[in-house]
Amino acid sequence: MSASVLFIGLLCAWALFSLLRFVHMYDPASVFQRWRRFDRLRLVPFGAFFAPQPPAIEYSLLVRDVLGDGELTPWTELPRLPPRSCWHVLWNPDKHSGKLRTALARRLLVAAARLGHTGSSTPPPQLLLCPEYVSVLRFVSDLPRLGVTRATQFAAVETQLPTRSCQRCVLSGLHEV
Amino acid sequence: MKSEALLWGACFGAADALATARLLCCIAGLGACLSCAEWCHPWDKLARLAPLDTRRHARGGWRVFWHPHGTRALLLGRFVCALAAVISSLTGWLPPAWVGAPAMLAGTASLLLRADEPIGVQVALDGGEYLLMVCLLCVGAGLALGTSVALQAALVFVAFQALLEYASAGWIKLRAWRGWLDGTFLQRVVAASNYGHPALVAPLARHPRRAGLLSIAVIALELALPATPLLARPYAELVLAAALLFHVGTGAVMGLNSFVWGFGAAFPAILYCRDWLLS
Repeated sequence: MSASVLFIGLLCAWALFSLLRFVHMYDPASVFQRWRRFDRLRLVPFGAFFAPQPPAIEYSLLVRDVLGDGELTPWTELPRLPPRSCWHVLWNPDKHSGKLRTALARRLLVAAARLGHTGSSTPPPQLLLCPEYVSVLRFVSDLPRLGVTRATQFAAVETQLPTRSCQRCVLSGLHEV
Repeated sequence: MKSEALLWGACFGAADALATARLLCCIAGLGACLSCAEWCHPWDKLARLAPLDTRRHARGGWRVFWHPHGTRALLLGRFVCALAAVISSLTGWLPPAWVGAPAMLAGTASLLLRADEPIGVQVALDGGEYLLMVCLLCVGAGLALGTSVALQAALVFVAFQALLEYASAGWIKLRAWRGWLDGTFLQRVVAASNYGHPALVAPLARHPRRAGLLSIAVIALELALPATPLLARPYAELVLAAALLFHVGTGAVMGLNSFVWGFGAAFPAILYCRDWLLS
């Protein structure tokens, strides 16, 4: 019975913190949110489902390659996700790739802004060495290709929704694959 | 101890609690199995998810091994335990602990996948995965403990978490109700490449009022759901059927399939709470 009492106590504490998350929920520095640093397993989730409003921007990754004969391929959005189908209600393994793309592009754009790099000019050396840049480069380089590729170039793009107009962009240099 | 169990059983209907828990474990277990299969399809996807853990190669050692091999082992363990929970809950004659133990282990594996990288995989988490974890871990532990009071507490907790998610989604959306009402926000959602549907972008842009009405209907449903434990039969069932239809719709349109299983597993617990409150 003591195990049951302990179990119920834990559930009550969990329920209490689940309610506490709504106090200053969008302010991580708030006193009411300091306990989150101890929640390493994310027992209490962040935010709410598309609330109060869905993001007005979207992040994407574009890639182009220099082929073996020196030809430059057109910019392509990666990873290429299949179009939405009714089967996605049961089976949708590509959702992870979409979220990864968003996370990679957002982190790179944040890192570039932190270093004061805006626009599509050649990235500064500090950006080339930052982990966010290396992550995207590794992701892009590991993608399977049909033919021989000499080099690759990528761009992280922030677009406005639903117009899809470009807001910010980080353009990489050419990297040997 | 026996008289106490009988008292709780008489008050809250322990037999119903057991049947509810078995059904919940079955649905959540199926969802967890499907989720594991999605994470490992294609087989090298987990390795491609590694770039987010930027310190991995710098630190080397177990981090390099863990991602993807350790994560795959964790997912395999979760799959096996969730499948065992499904099979044992369907048999009906196995003791509750035999259903609870694998469900609790599957829930524990789900919990570990929520940890920081490299142990967890942050990009693969969403609200549906969260509720799957809550269902398997709490109800599994409630069954494994073997007391009706623990099981009933677990069912009430699952219902509370599910209803809290609906209530928070509805109430917080009301803060920016104008954008939902004029259809702007729904147009943003369907235009996004991760959660959107290209075929719906143009129709919703042509008819923003319909987009607004649809958004308000969803918010009204999210706000109505916390009242289900207070609704008599068949109104609570109808509201939950509408919620299930909503999740199936978002699964087909937005690709959010884990919500169907996560929230669907919590529905028996919500109905159990309704029966308890109205009995």
